[in-house]
Amino acid sequence: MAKIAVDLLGMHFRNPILPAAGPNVGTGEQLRKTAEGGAGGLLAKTVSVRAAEVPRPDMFRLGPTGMLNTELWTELTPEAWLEREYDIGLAAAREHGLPFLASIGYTPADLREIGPKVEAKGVDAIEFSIHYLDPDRLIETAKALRESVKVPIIAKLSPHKGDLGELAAEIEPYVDGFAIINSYGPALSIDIERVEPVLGSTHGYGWLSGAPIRPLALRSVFEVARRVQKPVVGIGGIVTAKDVIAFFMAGASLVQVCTVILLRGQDYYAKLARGVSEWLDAHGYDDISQVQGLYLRQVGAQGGKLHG
Amino acid sequence: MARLTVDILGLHFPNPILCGPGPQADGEADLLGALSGGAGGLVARTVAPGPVTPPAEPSVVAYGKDGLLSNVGPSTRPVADWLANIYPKVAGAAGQRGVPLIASLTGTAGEVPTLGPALVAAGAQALEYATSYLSWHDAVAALKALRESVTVPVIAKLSLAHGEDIAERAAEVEPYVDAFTCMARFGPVLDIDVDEGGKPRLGGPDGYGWLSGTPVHPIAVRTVFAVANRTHKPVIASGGAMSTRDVIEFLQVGASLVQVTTAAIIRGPAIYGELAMGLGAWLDDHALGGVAEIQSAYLQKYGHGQRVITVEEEPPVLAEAQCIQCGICDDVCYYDAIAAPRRHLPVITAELCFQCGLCVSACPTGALSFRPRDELTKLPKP
Repeated sequence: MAKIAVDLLGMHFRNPILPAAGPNVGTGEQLRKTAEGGAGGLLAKTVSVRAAEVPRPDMFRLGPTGMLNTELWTELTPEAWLEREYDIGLAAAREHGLPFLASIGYTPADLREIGPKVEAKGVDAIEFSIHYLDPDRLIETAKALRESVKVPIIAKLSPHKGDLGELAAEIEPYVDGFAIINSYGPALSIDIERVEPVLGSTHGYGWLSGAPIRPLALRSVFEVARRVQKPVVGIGGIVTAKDVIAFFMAGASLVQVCTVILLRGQDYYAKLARGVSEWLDAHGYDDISQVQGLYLRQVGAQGGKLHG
Repeated sequence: MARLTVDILGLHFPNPILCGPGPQADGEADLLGALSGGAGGLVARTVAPGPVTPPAEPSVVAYGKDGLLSNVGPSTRPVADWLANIYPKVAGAAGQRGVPLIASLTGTAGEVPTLGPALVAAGAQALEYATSYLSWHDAVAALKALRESVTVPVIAKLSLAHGEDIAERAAEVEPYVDAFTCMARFGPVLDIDVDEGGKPRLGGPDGYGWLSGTPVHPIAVRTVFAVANRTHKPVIASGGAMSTRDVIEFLQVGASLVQVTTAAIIRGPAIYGELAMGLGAWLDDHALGGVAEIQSAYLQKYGHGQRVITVEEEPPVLAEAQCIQCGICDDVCYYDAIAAPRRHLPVITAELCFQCGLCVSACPTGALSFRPRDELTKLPKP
């Protein structure tokens, strides 16, 4: 069997498939199920300085492999995470020998407040989510967390009309890695019979995830991996093992999944991991590292013209 | 039968389904096929002022069942052929059927004052300008130049590649145009063929292309809503209209007409008429007299940004007769609120339910639903 374990930022992942921050990892108990379901590492839902007030309904399946959502960050208080949920998740991680990543957001002040508290719980790394794409604010946010914690920090960026690599390069000095990309939006879907939105948000707007955004995510991962030296975690619309390989070829060193887990269940991590291993075997690779950056090297090296 | 006709821009459209300006509208045979297929209007493939380099192959590949990735640009046929042969012939045939013919063009501010009037002289009754081929700054200049060079309606086709603030861009050019089309293909995007050792699925130096069809539909719906909400001129929808449902959705959020391109590439030109007939049947089923009765219905309800309260704030309700006991609702519930072993009716624990709605949307038979809160949603707008 081909090797699919990944060593990155001082952490050992038994396979490259992690949960993306979402309702699939919304409690300590969900994190335990994620570990049992075969994820290569754990990542908990985004925690901020206060609980999110989420409009309902907030999730809608769109086609077989897509979703529209108005999920925000965790609807639990930071105290609930610090006093209970992280402990359950961390215990599950230790039991299964998995790295544990926290996700936090959003402003520099939020990160300064919550970052050290989360680090003190014993997490192995912290991902922070950024929804705006203004370089100065990005740098300010990354610096705020960098100055507050010692563990590796990973910046999760939103898709962008221009070259996302240019933005990533701006904050590269302050972070240890990148998570590319967040869901895309706004988007809108309505119930034509009732003339009502499918989600309970203002205008009915939601964010698109799953297979519809995978080509956008692949392009974004490619652009960031081409430009920066630090590792990239690929996120966006992975459904099959081949999709995991595609993200690796575009330059990712790990991947995260949420939508497919929500739709297919927590046991799907193990199926994906096994599928990746089988694909590598069938194509004559011994180690997933052999496909990492394959597309990047073939195409990126030729200096392809940039759009946008 | 409900009336499908739409009168906008001084033109009379027999139905709101237009043949969009893609590779399925490239020349006389395609456009006559679209007429036979039942299109309510024709937008011929985009024409550029000078010679066009053919796209690198492969230039159009499938993305899922109802999506396409493509890197094609404007028509590679000579402009002279369009002006001397294609437009005059198609204009004659379209005129006989009472179907408007619209030209799609690109070009700089220096080029469109020549190309625009030439297309009109050849038979185009309106001009759609594709902004996505130039920077926004240059596209605005071209739209102004086009406005000054023709008297027929000018339509700006907008792209998210110019930025997320598409409604603000629409407002910026509103003085120079008569309508908007939302939206152009989405991207750039990338897909990789892993079995071929990591080759791009599309040709070209970087494998980049544009996504169209069902995957981009909810994005297109948002852009139509946002632009119709921000401006006062008609909006033509474009983006993944594959079914009657999609067409109705576009009309309800604010579109006056709907362009169909990807669906016609995948399913052939009969799709135009099928969508129009489907729309008519739906209107008849709902005892509605015409397209005008649904146009902007959602926009009028929710354009003001008021809080959306669509459902009772309680767990979903189960219609037992419709339930096939498949257990999917249990699988997708992340709040442990549903217990539905296979071959058992689901049991919902109200205290645990977050009303996230995922089970309602994932149920294959529509057996789960939220109780509508119609008494609240029918409140007059503020």
